[in-house]
Amino acid sequence: MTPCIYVVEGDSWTTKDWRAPSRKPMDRETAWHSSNEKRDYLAYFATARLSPLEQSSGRMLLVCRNNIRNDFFLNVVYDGARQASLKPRRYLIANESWLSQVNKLATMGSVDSALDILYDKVDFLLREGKLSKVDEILESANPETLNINIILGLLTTTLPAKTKLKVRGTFYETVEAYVNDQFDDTAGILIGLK
Amino acid sequence: MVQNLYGARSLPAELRHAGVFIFSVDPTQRHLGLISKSDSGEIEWLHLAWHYFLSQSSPEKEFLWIDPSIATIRLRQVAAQCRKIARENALGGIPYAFDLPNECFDADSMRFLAATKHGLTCATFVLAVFETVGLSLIDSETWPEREDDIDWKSTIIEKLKGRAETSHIQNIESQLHFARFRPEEVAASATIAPGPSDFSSVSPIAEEILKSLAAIDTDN
Repeated sequence: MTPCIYVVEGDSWTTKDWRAPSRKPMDRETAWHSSNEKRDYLAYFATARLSPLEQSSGRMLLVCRNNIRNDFFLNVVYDGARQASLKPRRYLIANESWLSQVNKLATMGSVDSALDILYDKVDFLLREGKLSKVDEILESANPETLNINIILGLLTTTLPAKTKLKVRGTFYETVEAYVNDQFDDTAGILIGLK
Repeated sequence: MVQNLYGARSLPAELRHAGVFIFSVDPTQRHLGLISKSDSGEIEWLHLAWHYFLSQSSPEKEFLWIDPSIATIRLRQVAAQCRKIARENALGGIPYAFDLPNECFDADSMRFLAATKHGLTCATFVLAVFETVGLSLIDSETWPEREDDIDWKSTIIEKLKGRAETSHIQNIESQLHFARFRPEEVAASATIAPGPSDFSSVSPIAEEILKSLAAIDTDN
């Protein structure tokens, strides 16, 4: 039986066929096309990025990346044993929920996956010249509710554009105050990120 | 023994998200690259092996690695940047040249490598990756111009002829007198990071790293 994966694309649902999935992460790449629009995706299973408990349940995280537009990311939970009834989790859909969804992923323990998404997303927006969008993200980012890795990810990815972003300076100051308040040893945490 | 310098056997247990590895290619040449560890504990490699050849392969020779003196949560960002650069340059790669490792991330195009750059060496690639996440390991202004570095660059240019375009050769011939940051010096700068470190601080540690490399080469 060919495994079936449900993928969320924007607001629509698409069924994908997936043959002989490899459980070894990051070593299997494939190009596929969505049913309604020709797009190339870079996709890989990242079982090892889930907790051992989730892995033992047969749950897998599938990361798909639009390899052409570099702007579309999916995280789908797939269960080999109950694939027909399982609904995917939709992590990245709307701008207003984007940061909180990435933060949730980091809080769940998949910090690397969360940072990969964050790096690609911010980088895409900057390349497209959507500086106001990036400013919106920084403006909505509250250090008190975000994982520290996500906070540093925001400062790191926006560093090359620091002179072009209107609110980055304010965001840095907010983060600096937060770090000084929350961490005993602050040396080196923010060095070079101002 | 150099602080924060370890043998290959301590991987992956001792690695805090990201580090630097170094090995001897031959008695006169060292090679340098980046290592990172994923959430699952898997080790990933990233090094500029040659002209347009950004490798993700593990070293085939015995190596040493450095645990940079950088906050652990910042090393996560280094690892994330490594994965980002690997994703972006998997097909196109990065040219080999002698540019300084500063401003390699183009603030206009938001691309690594910036269009104003001709290329990097294995050592400046490592410096550039750290620099893009806000960590400048060296103070390049303090690096001396050395006669044997010019000889080394001339040898590299000869090897590039026939592989690189003529225009690229012409561009890097104009970089003969740029400071060279040797692999062992960049490795040394990571041991005393966060920098930027000057040449006089880095140089004696680089000598110690060379001795450690010679020792493992002798053992093997």
